Amino acid sequence: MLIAFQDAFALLTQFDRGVISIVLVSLQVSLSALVLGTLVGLPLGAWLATEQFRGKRALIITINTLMGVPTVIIGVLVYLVLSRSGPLGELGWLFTVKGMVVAQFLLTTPLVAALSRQVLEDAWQIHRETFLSLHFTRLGYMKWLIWDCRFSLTIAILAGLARAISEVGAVMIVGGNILNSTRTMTTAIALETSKGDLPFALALGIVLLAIVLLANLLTFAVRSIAEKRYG
Amino acid sequence: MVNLNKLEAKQIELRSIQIVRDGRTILDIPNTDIQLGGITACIGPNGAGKTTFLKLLHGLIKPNAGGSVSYADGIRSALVLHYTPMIKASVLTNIGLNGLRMPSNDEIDRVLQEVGISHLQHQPAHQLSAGEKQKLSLGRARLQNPNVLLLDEPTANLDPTTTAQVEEMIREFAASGCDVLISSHQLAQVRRLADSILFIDGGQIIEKGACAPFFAQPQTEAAQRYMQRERAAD
Repeated sequence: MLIAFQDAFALLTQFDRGVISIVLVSLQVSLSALVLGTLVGLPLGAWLATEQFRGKRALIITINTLMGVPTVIIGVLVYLVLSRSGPLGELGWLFTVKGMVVAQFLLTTPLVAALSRQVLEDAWQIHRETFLSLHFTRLGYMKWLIWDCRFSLTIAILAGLARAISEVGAVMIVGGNILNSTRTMTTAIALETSKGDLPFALALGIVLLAIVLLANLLTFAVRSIAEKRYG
Repeated sequence: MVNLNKLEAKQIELRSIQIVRDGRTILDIPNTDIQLGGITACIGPNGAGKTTFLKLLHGLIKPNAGGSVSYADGIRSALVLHYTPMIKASVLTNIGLNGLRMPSNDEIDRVLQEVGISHLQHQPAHQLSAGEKQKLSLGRARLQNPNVLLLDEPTANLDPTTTAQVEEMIREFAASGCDVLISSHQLAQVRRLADSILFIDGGQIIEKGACAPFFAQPQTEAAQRYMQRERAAD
């Protein structure tokens, strides 16, 4: 085991091309999905937090359920939609990075929406009358509500990143784990472990942990600075 | 709500207003016209419906089905609530919050000077003292360029110095042609500021008229009882 770790560190210190390529694909897929998921999830969370409508509770329960749906289920559904005989088969996105982004977007969006709704709903109770008395439109008060909660919302976005970068089921099914094309850190770890190439799997695991740790540190730093400045 | 040209300037017409919350009637105003002018104080005991009345006039609370609040053309109201939370941003950002139009930097600078908090412009607004927050709220109201200002207990929990400063700002609003409707518990303050009185009790407008005669001799029994209680408490 010690040798496996030594070899893993050697791969990392030598900037192994294979490792770097896989890390870049992972980051490309997960960050793209996170950006899109945040762009959709935050306004969706804000809308759910501020609006009253028939069926709101059912929609919240649905989104909360989607937050924890197994990734392989999303993978299979996206596979069916993107496969040649599926409704979006003509796009040719199956076994491509684009298809993987779609799958991870569907994983991150409900998570960001559900977590942000909880944060924004509390803030809405506090600011509702002020925003309405200042004649803000729906878009206006949603924007300022998100701005007011921006530091708390970093947790929702961080959770979205963790969900995206650590999942294996959906990208395996939709991406196909093709070397130098759609192979991500998680699918490569699964593959290399089954092949017995533990140093390679460990090297990727270390990078994966480092990315999650870095994201957490950044979030913590942003919140700390913000709390010092804005309380 | 409908704007009616036929109404006189600064006139508000209330018809069949009934606001009920959790089975409790908060406001019950069958039919009345309010002629704004100068500073009008809305007084009455706790739970009388003063805050709800101000929110209704500003449109924050919609009238019940069949009820209506009609304004004379050109009325632009601004409402400063008793509790005004600030968003987690600077004083500069908070004072510029405006859903109707984005105030220019020059306007914001001028108003910050006028309300005396320009030295705090880069401070986090939610960490201000109650008095500073009230000044910010009044500045924000000024940036809305209203001709009717609705103030809910604007000096509650403020020290005497800040109370005097806020009262001066209210007088400045009135002097600039903006009519002010202020709800207050402090009869001494009402005497200092108000030109006319609206006495509300049990969700109804019981009495309205000029300030001096009201203080000299309230016309209704409810107002007389209220004044006696308040004077005893003072």
